[in-house]
Amino acid sequence: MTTPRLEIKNIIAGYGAGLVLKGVNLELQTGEVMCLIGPNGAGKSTVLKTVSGLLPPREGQILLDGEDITGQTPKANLRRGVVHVPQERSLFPGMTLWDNLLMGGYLIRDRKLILSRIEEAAHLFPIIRERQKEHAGSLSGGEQKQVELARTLLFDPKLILLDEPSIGLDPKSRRLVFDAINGLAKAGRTILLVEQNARSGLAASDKGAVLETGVVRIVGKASDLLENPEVAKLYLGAAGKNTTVKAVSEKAKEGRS
Amino acid sequence: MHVLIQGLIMGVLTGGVYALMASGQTLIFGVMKVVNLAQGAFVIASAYLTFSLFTQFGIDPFVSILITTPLMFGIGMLAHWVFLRPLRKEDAVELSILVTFALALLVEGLLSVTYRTTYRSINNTYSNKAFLLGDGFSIPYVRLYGFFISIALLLVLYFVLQKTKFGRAIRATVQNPQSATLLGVDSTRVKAYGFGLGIATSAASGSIFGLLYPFNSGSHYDLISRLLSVVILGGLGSIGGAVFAGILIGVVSSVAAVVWSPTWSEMTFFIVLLLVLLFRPQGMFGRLERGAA
Repeated sequence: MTTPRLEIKNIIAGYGAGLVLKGVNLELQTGEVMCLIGPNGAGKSTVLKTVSGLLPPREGQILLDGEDITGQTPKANLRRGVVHVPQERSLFPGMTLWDNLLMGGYLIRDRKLILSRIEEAAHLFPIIRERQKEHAGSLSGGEQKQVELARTLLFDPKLILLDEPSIGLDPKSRRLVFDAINGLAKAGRTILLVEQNARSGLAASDKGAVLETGVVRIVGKASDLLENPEVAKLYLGAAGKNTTVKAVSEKAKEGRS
Repeated sequence: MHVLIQGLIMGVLTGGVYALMASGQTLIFGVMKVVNLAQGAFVIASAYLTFSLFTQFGIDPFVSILITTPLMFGIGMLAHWVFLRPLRKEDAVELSILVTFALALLVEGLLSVTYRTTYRSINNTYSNKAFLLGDGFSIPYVRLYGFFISIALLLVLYFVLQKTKFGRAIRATVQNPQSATLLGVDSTRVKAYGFGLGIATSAASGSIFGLLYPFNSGSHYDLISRLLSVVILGGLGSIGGAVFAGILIGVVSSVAAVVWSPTWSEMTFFIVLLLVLLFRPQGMFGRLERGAA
């Protein structure tokens, strides 16, 4: 049996006195794309932060290719190939695209290697070649996300953590971003994705997980989740606010009994 | 008209030095979001150091920049490590105003003990010499050299920030600290280097300041208020803005001095500051914070 690329074992984490994650367990094989969905405040972004090292967990274990990386700094994890693209715009708006890409290779000493990786990334994201002299702040939201994704490739990443890549984008830009994610997936990258636009996120993924109030409620094949009536009702179509899979399940049980 | 043009020339030459001084101040704000009230004190400390190097060892004040700048870079890094780094992250911006003011008082105290409070000035062989340009315009050598050295140092600063990996890391930290951290930038180290670089930049201008004006340990009060005026006019955190504003205020105050009186020259800094705060609070090259009124 192969060692999973990422194992998250019973992670408990939070901010200040509050707990956000209350025992999260997830597993991701090399080359897989997993989409985390759930309501606001469920702890989806916090999962990514604990993996990248932005938020050290209070309990539990995180393994990358079997190596314990729990509580390591973002820099240490970056050296291992864990790249986190946060929800907020992460480009440097006053810098050119070229300088933004060079910042992606900040930890790499070999300039030739940086240039060759930029060249490789340009095959998947031609925008970084076409508009390299422009300031990042002049790009549209979708274009900026494309550059952010291209920049992750400079690390030759083992694991890409994407937090709400389509948030705040118009439909055309969203399509660009999901095309880019599909491109990364086809290139064999392992991706853990958090996405409010659950249908698009799951469609681009192999696996899916539903997170509610800091706990994983459902995990399985993305295609199964897309067909799951409870998930469909809550996250893929019209549903009442503040409803959870757990609540729907309990209501269904009550109805059956 | 002759007097006006003479004032204009002197203003540009003096403004270049203010531009260098203010670049250090605004760099520190950009990297750390710290309004460093000790910046003027470090400029005066550098002027005293230049004074000592000249009177004790006969080192030319312009040459002494090669000594004062790296030395003050080290002192700036040490000051960051001792006074600013320990501040709690949540309160760092507010507390840093008090801490840097305390640091200014500390530097002033040390200078007072070492040099007494009498005014000092650096007078070398060319201090009072000038040459005539065109239709009888007098150009003092110290101001001319000071201007060109300031511009040269600003170009070095520009090169460091724009063309080096270290400069890119500083700019990245200024623009998006979290993203810079996620790309492997050690923001604590960058802030320390940024603070050191900001102090070093101002220290270089301190050597020139010592040649241009008499100074004592308390001169930093006047200087910091001028520096803040320049930095706010240019836009907090904008080095290009600081350069433009430094030269602009230099020109306006110099022209005011020759057209009206030196008293009005002193006032121009604050009149400009008042006008900026009223009509363009983000400064000429600054951006409004999101959510600000």
